[in-house]
Amino acid sequence: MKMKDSFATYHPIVNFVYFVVILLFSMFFMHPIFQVIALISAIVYSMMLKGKSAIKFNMLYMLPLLLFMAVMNPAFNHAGVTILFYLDNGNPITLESILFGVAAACMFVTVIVWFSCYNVVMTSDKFIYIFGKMLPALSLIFSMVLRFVPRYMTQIKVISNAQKCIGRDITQGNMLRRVRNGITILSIMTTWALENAIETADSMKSRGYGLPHRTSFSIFRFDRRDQLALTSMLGLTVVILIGAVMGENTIRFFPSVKAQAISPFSVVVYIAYWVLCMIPVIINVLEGMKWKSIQSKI
Amino acid sequence: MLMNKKRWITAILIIGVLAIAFFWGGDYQKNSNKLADDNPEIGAISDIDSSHNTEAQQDEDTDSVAETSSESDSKVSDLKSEDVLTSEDHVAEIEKEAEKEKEKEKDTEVEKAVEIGAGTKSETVVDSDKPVLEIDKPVVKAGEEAGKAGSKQPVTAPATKSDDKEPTKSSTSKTPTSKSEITGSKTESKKDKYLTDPVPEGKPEPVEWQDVTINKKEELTVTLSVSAKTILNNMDKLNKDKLEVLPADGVIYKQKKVTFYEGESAFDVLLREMKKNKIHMEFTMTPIYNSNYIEGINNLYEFDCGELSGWMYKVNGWFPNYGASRYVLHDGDVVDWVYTCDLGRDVGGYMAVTGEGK
Repeated sequence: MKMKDSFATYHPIVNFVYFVVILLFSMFFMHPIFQVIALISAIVYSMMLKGKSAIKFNMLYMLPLLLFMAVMNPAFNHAGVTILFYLDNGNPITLESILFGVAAACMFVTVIVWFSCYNVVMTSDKFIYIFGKMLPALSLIFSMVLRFVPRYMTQIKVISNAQKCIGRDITQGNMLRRVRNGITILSIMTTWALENAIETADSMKSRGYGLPHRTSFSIFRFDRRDQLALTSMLGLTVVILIGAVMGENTIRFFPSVKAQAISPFSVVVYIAYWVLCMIPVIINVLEGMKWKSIQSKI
Repeated sequence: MLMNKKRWITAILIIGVLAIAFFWGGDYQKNSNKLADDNPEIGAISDIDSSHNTEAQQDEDTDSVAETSSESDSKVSDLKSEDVLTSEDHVAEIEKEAEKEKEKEKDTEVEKAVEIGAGTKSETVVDSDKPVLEIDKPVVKAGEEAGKAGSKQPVTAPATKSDDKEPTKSSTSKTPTSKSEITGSKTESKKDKYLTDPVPEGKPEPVEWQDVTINKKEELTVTLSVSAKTILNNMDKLNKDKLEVLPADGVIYKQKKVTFYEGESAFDVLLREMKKNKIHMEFTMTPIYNSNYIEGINNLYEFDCGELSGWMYKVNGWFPNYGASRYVLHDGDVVDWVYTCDLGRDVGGYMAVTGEGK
C-alpha cells in the first residue's frame, strides 16, 4: 500500500543528512550484522515508499544481482585459509572469498536500494533548496539532469501511445515494420527533446534566470520536530562512530574471517545502527498511529 | 567588485591546492630514495646517479636559458614568439642529448629507472608549464627509441612481474615500464617472443609448456622447498593481518624430495605439492610471459611485506630469468621457492630482476 511518507515532509537538511550518513555507513561497515540491518531496513523503507513496485524491483533485479556478485568474487579471488575445493585450473575456492563476495554483494544492493529511497524523498526542489545558495548553477543542472530519464520515459510512452492509435507502434506489424516504427518514435522523441530544450531555455530567460538577487522557492521551515529528528540522528551517529573507532563495525575477511566478539557495547552499537536505519520507518509508523488515535477521538 | 573578489579567492584556493600537491610530490621522491637506501650499495649508486642527473639537467636548463637569452640579445629584430620557439627547440634538443647520455650511464638497474622516473615526475611537478613540455618530449622520444630498437621489455617473467605489477597497481605504469625498456635495450638486444633476455651460458633455455608432453611413466625426483624466512627480518613491513599465516620459522614447506614426471615444469611440481599438502596458493596466467605468476603461497601474497615483496624461485641456486611454467625440471634438481621483501636482493636473486645475466 502506498501512503504519504512523513519522513519526506521533514526539512530537506534532515533528509539529506540522513541519507548521506546512511549511505556512507552502509558503504563502509562490512560487518555482517550491520549489513543485514542496513539491507532489511532499506528494503522495508523502499517498500513503504513505493509499495508493490519496490517489491518487484527488489525481487527482479536486486536478488539476481546479489547472487551474481556473490558468485563472481570467489571466481577471481582465491585468498583465504579455508580451502573448500579446487578449480579446474588449479586455483582454490576458499570460504573467505565466498563470504567476502556475499558481504560485498549485500553492501552493493543495500546502497542501490538506499539510493532508490533517496530519489523518492529528495525531490529536486529540496535539493535546490539546500544547494541553491552554495552552487546555484550546479544544483540546477543536477536537478534538471536527474529529471531527464523519467521525463523522457513518460514522453516516449506518450508518443508510443499516440502512434499505437494509427497502428504504428513497435508492438504492431512484422519485424521490419516494428523496427521502422521504433526508429520513427525515436526520431519524434529527439525532435521533441531538442524543441523542449529550447523552450526550457526561453522560459528560464523570460523568468530572469541569471539575474542577481533572486530568491529560491521554498516553504521549508526548520521546526521542533526537525530539531528532534536531527539531534537524535546525530546522537546515534556519534554512538556508531565510537563503535567504528573501537573496531566494532568492521570485519576482516582475509586471510581468515575475524571480527570482534559480541560484547554489551557492541550490542549497543548494533541497536543504535538499527534505530538509525529505521528512523524513517519509525517516523512513518508513529505518524500513522497518531493519525489513527486522532481519528478515533472524533 | 564582488565577482572579482570571488575570482581572486578561487585563484588563491587553486594555487593553494597546487602548492599542497607539489609538496606531496616532493615527499614521494624522498620515499623512493629511502627505499633505495635500504640496500646500501645500490642505494648509494642510485643516489649519486639521480643527483648527478638532476644536476646535469639543471645545468642544461640554465645553459639553454643563457643561450636563448644571448640569442634574443643578438636577434633583437626577431619576433618574440619565434624566440620562444627556438628556445624550446634548444631545450628539447639538449634534453634529448641528456637523455641519451643518461642512457649510456645507466647500468641497467630497474631500481634506478624507477628512481629516475620518480625524479622526472617530481621535476614535472616542480616547474611550471614550459618545463613540463620539455620533459615530456624526451620521455616520449625515449619510448620511441626503445620501440625502434625492438622488443625491449622488462626482463624476466617471475621477477620482473612483481616489479612490473607494482606500477600498474599505482596506476603509473607508463613511465617506469618504458624506462625499464630502455635499460633493457642497453644491455642485450635480443629477446625471445616472451620478452626473455638471453639465458646465461650453461643454464637451461626456457621451454614453452604448450610444446611439452608429460611422460607419466618416467618418475623422477626433485628437492622442493618453500620458505618465507626473509619476512622474519622485515616484520615491521609485514601486513599485520598476515601474522597468523606466517610460520614461526618462516618455512612453509620443508625441503623434501618429491616425485614428478618427465617434462613437468617447476610450476607444475609446486602446484601438485601445495595441493597435496593442503597449502593455499594462488596464481595467474600471464600470457605475455607465457607463464604462471605465483601471487601468493600460504596466503602470503605479493606486496604483503612492503611493495618490493613477492615470490621468486631458484633452481640449483640460480634464479631463472623466465617464468616457472617454462622451466622444465631435470632429475635431481633443487627447487627453492623463496619470498623476497626487497625485489630479490635479500635472497640473492636481484640479477634475475635486472636482467644482468651472470
